[in-house]
Amino acid sequence: MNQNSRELAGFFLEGNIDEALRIVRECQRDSTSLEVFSSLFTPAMNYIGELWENSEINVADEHLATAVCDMVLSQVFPGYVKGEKVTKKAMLLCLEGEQHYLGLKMINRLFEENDWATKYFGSNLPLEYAVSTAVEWKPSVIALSVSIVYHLPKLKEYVMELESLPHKPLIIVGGRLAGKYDLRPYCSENTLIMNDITTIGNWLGQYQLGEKVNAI
Amino acid sequence: MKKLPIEELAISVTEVMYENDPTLMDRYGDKGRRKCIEDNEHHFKHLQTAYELQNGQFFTEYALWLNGILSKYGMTEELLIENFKLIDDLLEREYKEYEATNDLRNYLASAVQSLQESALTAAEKGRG
Repeated sequence: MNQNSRELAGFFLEGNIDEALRIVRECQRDSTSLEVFSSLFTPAMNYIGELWENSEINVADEHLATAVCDMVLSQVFPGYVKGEKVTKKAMLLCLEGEQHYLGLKMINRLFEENDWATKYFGSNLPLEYAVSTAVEWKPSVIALSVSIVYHLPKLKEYVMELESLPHKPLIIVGGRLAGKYDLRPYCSENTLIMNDITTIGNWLGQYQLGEKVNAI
Repeated sequence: MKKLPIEELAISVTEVMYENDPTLMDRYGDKGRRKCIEDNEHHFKHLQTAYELQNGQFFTEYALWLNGILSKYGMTEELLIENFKLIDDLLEREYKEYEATNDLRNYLASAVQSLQESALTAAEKGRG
């Protein structure tokens, strides 16, 4: 892990928003959003997860760090002004019970920057509500996030039900578990499984490029 | 699958642990007993998840991860193995007819074996 990520993790744990903002803004000057997310935020939050797993910090520390990280993300990446080209729609949600939403929040930003209209639902969205919104709004992509093994048994149900909607959305699965286990048995052959934020960032870039090529 | 009565099971296992070793109460008190119930709830939740996913690997990885944390507090793998054996006894004694019991007992046996193997590897490294 780089020095900046370690420092950022320290400021998250201290609740020091000003210093956290300073580091992120410095890094943002000569990096893309994807680079800031993948080389600064993600290692910092993974490190905080490791500290918690090793009982070096407690639940209160971890919640404070999460809250500060969330505030910093909202301040550094405020509402994205969409261009006129926005025609694609994506829904982004965490499975029922899943509380780990920060990765999905960053991915939502990447979708927006790649000219997608999005509905980002944060943590814990029960399937029935995901279905009713998807039926009405008809997004071409639905991104699902799962980070805790307890929630994995529900993944298959989400994938099957959402893929079988009449407008046939593409389902993308990501989150901590996608980088740790083979999730294919809980998905269909049409599901895209994205191991990390860089993979999804690159996929969005390729998708954008494909659209431009098709338009020529 | 019918859900396991996790809270009830966690309390039963903890009671047996404290009956078998009365010094636990002297050493860790009521707070320790409550933590033990909480830990056992996690064991059962992971067992149930592994069963729902039909993949014992999830339980074994959980056991190895947890053992890594416990070892930082100076606890040996024996404690966790003993705990898993008590869960196994309870399932065999009172949940024989339950549809998931055979699978759950297999997951426990695999986890115990992995814990023993990892202890052996660690001991060999220590000697080397």
